Amino acid sequence: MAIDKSEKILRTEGLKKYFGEVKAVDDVNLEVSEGEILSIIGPNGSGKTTLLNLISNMIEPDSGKVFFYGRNVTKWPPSKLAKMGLVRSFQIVNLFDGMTVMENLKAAVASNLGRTHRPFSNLNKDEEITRRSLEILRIFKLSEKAETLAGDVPHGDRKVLDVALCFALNPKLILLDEPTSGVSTSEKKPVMQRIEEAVRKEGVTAVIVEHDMDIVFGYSNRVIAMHEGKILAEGKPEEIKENEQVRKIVTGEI
Amino acid sequence: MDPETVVIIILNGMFYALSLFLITIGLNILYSFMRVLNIAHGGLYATGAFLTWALMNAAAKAGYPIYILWLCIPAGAFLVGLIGLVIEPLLFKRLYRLREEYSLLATFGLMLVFDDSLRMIFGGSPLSANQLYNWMGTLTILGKAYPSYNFVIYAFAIAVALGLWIFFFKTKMGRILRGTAQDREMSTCLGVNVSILYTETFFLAVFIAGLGGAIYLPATNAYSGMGFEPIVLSFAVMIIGGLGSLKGALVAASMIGLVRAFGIALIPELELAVVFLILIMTLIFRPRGLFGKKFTREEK
Amino acid sequence: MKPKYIIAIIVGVLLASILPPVLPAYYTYVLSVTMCFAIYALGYNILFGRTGLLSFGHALYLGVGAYTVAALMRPELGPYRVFSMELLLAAAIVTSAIVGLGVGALCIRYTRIFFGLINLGFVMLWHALLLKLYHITGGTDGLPVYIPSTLGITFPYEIFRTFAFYYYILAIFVILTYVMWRIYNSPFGLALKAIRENGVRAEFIGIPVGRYRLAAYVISAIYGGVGGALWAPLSGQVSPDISTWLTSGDVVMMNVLGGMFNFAGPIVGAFIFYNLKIQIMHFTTYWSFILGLSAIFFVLVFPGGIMGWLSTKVRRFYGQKA
Repeated sequence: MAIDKSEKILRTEGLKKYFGEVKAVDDVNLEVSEGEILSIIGPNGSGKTTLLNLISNMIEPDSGKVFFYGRNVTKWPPSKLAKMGLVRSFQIVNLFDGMTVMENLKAAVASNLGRTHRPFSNLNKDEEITRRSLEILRIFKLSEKAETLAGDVPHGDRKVLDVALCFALNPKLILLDEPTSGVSTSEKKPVMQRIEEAVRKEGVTAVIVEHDMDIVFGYSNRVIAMHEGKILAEGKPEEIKENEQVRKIVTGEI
Repeated sequence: MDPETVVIIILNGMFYALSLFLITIGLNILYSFMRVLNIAHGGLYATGAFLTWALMNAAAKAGYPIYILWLCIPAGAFLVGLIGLVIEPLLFKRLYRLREEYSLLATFGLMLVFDDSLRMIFGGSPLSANQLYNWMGTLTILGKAYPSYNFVIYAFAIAVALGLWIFFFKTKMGRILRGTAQDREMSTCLGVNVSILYTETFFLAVFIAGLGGAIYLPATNAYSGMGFEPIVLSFAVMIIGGLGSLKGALVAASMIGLVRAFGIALIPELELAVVFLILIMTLIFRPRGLFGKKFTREEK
Repeated sequence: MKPKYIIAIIVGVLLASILPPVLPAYYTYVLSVTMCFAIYALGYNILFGRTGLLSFGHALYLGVGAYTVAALMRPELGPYRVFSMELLLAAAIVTSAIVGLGVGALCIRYTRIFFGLINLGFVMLWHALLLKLYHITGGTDGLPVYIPSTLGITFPYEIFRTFAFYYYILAIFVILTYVMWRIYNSPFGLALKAIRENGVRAEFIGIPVGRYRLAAYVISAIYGGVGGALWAPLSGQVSPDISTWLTSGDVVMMNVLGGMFNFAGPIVGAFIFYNLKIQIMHFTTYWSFILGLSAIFFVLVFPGGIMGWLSTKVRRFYGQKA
């Protein structure tokens, strides 16, 4: 599909989502430039995950629009978004537990290459799918676990696999929902490093929802702080760090 | 068509509708709260009819007065409830944690067991116990005679609907149930013994089904295989009315009952086909049913 | 496929081929019927075991296939009667695909458990129509089915039923099993597995879940139709009894018994189930009771079925909810 590179990779316009009285996302307008790593921070309930859900069309907005390279993708089914290059990972790990790690990746790679439409070709003989899957295993240091069932793999690796699936899709924009939550402190840095390496290497744009401030300030180009469904502040990590309001709202996390 | 006939058709339609409603409401309760779709519910309905027949038959033969026969109805339903108290811990407790489809297969098997068991015990011929029906005589409506007993059924079904509404929305236990349905873990943390709660709910649902079979017995009869047709139609009622909605069950059951009654009167060949047609229409135009909630992506 | 498997299969087919002259005619007939059901069950499993959708009304397609064959052979059609088995099979494939597409498109939009029940509704509708439209369908008696020509040859009745048609069915069974094997091992097959494991995530990795589910449904419908079409001339008579909720439940049971997460499971299940059913029905009319108890037993104790017990991959499929 044709992509208009003069447009921002992601833009939201007036996104709103109310759950009854609760204004989960309240008129959010943001822009993301190609190649940047943008972090979204905020206390629990500020609407970060809901925002990701709206952008990735996990739920429908009450009003507002989402633009991907200038195209209105607000109502597109997630499978179509994924094919266009907009993918997301999940806060609560969302894998194909009954399949091996390798099968998880092969499914994503096969989907990305458009091969899943073929009911008669032999998956095991498909060299390209195998090669790409092995490559991603290698990047994310999951090679040893390839033949283990995804449900049996330790939690940190499961989080990484969740993200690896996104990269298997050759994405242009990746939405990461708390990629290091539930990961032990000693593992956080390596996990994040694997992600950052992949992002820089593949030139992917990333929007990361995170609670861990070290991660946020260590890896982002830009930070957005949310509060009660609205954007409170945005700017470079250093600016946000110094921002009075942000410090007050996000107390205890800095 | 003259107005008298129309009224009679409507009454017939509601007569059928309310039997559907009684089965559906139990099904709905079990599915909404425990996520088990109990195909065997039809079997429990049938068991209610047969057990009540046995009681009424014995009572009539022994020459007991009429009010004893009336008591056979709740007695029969209570017996069905007791059966429920046996099968819930034995079988259903283990089904709650399974994928829904698996529990469906198990309740399907249970339905077969009920159906054949009833056939084994009571034989294959229809059994009737019309004493109460006859005793109540007929009313004349717009010049046509109509059985008075049917009004007992109407009154009864409305009482059940009201009773359930009060139970779920106005009593403490009802509220606890609804909360547990939303978040079982949280309920346990708050000290609710979910296991016992489920057993009690199961008893309620099964009791109502048995009561349905019992109260209809004097007006019709008990025949083998009687549990199957209502079950399939009950699913249609649940879908058309919307999952988890008391209102929806009543409205949809009424709709189906009336359509069926008019269908039989006007074009006898179509009958069931009309009901399925409504089901298909619902699926095309409003998959969540009349009063159901919209599906989230996870539920697809 | 590994060479040892290929050899095992060739040996198996050869063995199957020498059975008719060796066994009594009745057993050949039973085996032929069992193969029809094995085709039905195999097709069913791509929907049930592989994609994770439980349909409780699949006997619809057995009926569609069988009645298509019977209808095209009716004497009323005069010169337009079709006797060529190849044409009849093609027609059955077309009709079951069309019905599958129509019914599937409606059912797919619904949630998992109601998917199964809506299918049940459709098979009951079909059953009701078969009974009511007796001018076309022959009502409760159904329609007779005459001997078709197989590859141009029309065999005499006894030879057809207890010998010749066995080989025809065997050949189609082998071909269809091979086709299904290819599907299972394809990227499409993996996508179906992903849909079963986690439909939401599958959507998010770019798999059009609704469309693929429908595709699996249509494939299973076609297999059911073929199974029914092959069964029709074998039994000589098609009646509404072939499409009931009970026969729909049969195929579910076959798959669960044999092992739904295993390729050969449905085939094993069909063979064991059907033969057991015949044996048990000799002893008692209360077959439903036994079937019901077995269903409960397998769900609670052996969800992986026989093949699953042999491969011990069972535990994944107790549900995730507490």
